[in-house]
Amino acid sequence: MSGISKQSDKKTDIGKNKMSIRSTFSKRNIQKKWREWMFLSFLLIIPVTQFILMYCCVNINSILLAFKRYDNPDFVWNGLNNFKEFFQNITTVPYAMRIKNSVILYLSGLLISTPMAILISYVLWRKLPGYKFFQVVFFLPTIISSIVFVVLAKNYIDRVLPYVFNAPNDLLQNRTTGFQTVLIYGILIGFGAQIVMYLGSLSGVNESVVEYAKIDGMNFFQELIFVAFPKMYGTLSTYLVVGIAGFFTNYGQLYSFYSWGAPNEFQTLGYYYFVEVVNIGKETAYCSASAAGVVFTLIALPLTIGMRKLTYRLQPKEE
Amino acid sequence: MKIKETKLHKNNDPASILSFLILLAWTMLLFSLIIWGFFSSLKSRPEFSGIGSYDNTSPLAFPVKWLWSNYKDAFQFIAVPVSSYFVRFGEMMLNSLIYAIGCTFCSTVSPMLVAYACAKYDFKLGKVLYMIVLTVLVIPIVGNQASELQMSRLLGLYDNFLGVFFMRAGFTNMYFLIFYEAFKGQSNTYAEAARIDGAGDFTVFFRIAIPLIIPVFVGVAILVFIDAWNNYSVSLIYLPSHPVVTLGLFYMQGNTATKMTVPILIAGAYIVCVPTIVLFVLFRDKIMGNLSIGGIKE
Repeated sequence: MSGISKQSDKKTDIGKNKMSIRSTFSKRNIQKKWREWMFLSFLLIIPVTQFILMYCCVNINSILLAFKRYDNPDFVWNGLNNFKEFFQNITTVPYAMRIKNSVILYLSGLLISTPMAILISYVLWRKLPGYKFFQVVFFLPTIISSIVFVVLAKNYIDRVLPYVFNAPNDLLQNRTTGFQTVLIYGILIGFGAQIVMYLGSLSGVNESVVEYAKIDGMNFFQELIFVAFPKMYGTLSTYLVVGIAGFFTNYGQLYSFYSWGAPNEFQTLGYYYFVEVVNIGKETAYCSASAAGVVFTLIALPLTIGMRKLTYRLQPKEE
Repeated sequence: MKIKETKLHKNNDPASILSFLILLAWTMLLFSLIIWGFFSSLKSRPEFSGIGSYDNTSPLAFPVKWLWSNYKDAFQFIAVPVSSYFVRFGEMMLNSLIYAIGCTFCSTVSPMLVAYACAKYDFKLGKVLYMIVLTVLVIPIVGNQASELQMSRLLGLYDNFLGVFFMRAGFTNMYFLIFYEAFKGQSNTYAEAARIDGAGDFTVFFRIAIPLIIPVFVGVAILVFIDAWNNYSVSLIYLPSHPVVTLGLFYMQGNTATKMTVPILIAGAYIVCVPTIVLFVLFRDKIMGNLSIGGIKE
């Protein structure tokens, strides 16, 4: 009897062993998974919380604000009135001027700054005499604060230009020259960061391709178009896609030069709404600025997607 | 025998010569601004403005008396009013340092942590987070400044350093992509060997992954520090009680009161440049290294 029970005990023992192996394995697996999730939670908890609060909640709140008005101390429902007011405002002369200035600022970046940055990057990549020195010089406006250059430039324009070039001594204050002066300043100072990015792209050009171009007899411009530009295109397309939203938000150096007191003739859309929210209206301006933001986002979104598709379609082949 | 490096381009064609002349002209313009500014910072107010006994003095003239004391006076005279007192230049420099260091830490570590999770672990949320970054980078959101300001007040993030650091701890930026590619490019051999030896996830992360990524981390951190040090708009909007030194310059350049002189303001501007120029000199290769943001593909 004891032998059978022993046998049975053995079976039970074997059964028990099988079960304990299985349970040990799954327990270990669960513990491993649990430790992994603890670690991932450690990595992700603050960044994801920040994203939920400062991106998702902010943008949802922005949309809600667009349908409200400030009635001290609360925000009350206002329906579509903010949007009606927005579409009425854009027909006024001051607003039309802001749109015009925004167009000029955007096009100056697109048609002057960007081609200049591409050309200068290409020239520096060709290792012109003193190219390392020029690289450092063009990078200076990126590492030195813009306000430092504005402090210098403001006084330089007021004091030195009239003395040396007989320029008017109120270039910045005059309503016919102020915006253009700030625009030209912005173009001259602003393309350093782009140059660094384009040079980074050009570092990927194979030397054998350049030698082949030389053998083929390519001149300065042919090499720029067929060798350098395809490599820079990726960076350029990113700037073009991201720059669409900049049309509505960009105010160049206007705020640095004029603080909140830029004349209407100088203002851009970005400057106007920045000053409205930060300086003047505070809570009373939040709702109208948010409504404008919703409209601008609805305009910018399809344009950005369209620009992305266009740049992808026009991508030059690197042959 | 020294092998002479052959140049790929001769640069003796008319287009190259014209390009060189344009670069030279631009450089001379920028340097004339910087050098003129330096000599102006050593002048007295009447001499700089050309008034009184300095009437008809050229603005390009060297200082009659080299007032190095202007650099010391910058600490006294450059000030921003906050409530009932003035925050002076020295305190603003400290605010700038705190803000720049805190921002650098938060803006660099946050995308690094998320990039590591997405690159090294295969889980659904990781893929979602990666797509979120790409989507946020492409989709333009305009005009949410008012909402962000309101939310910062509501959440108690407004007008305190920790709050602003939290606001800067986002991961939906280009630095995430840089860290992601760096972690993806890391070989898993070291991590696997460590796990065989019994190392857990924390050990692998802190003792293997991070040391391997330090060059990338330092490069990104330097760029973020420089940007944070130079920025005045964040202090203007979110830290009004803790003005940074660039905000001080911004405030004073529109407010030349009787005690305040432009040469002292320019001297203050040159003091502000020192930390970023020192960083640039020390880490020039890292800062001007091969940065490429590439294209946004379908």
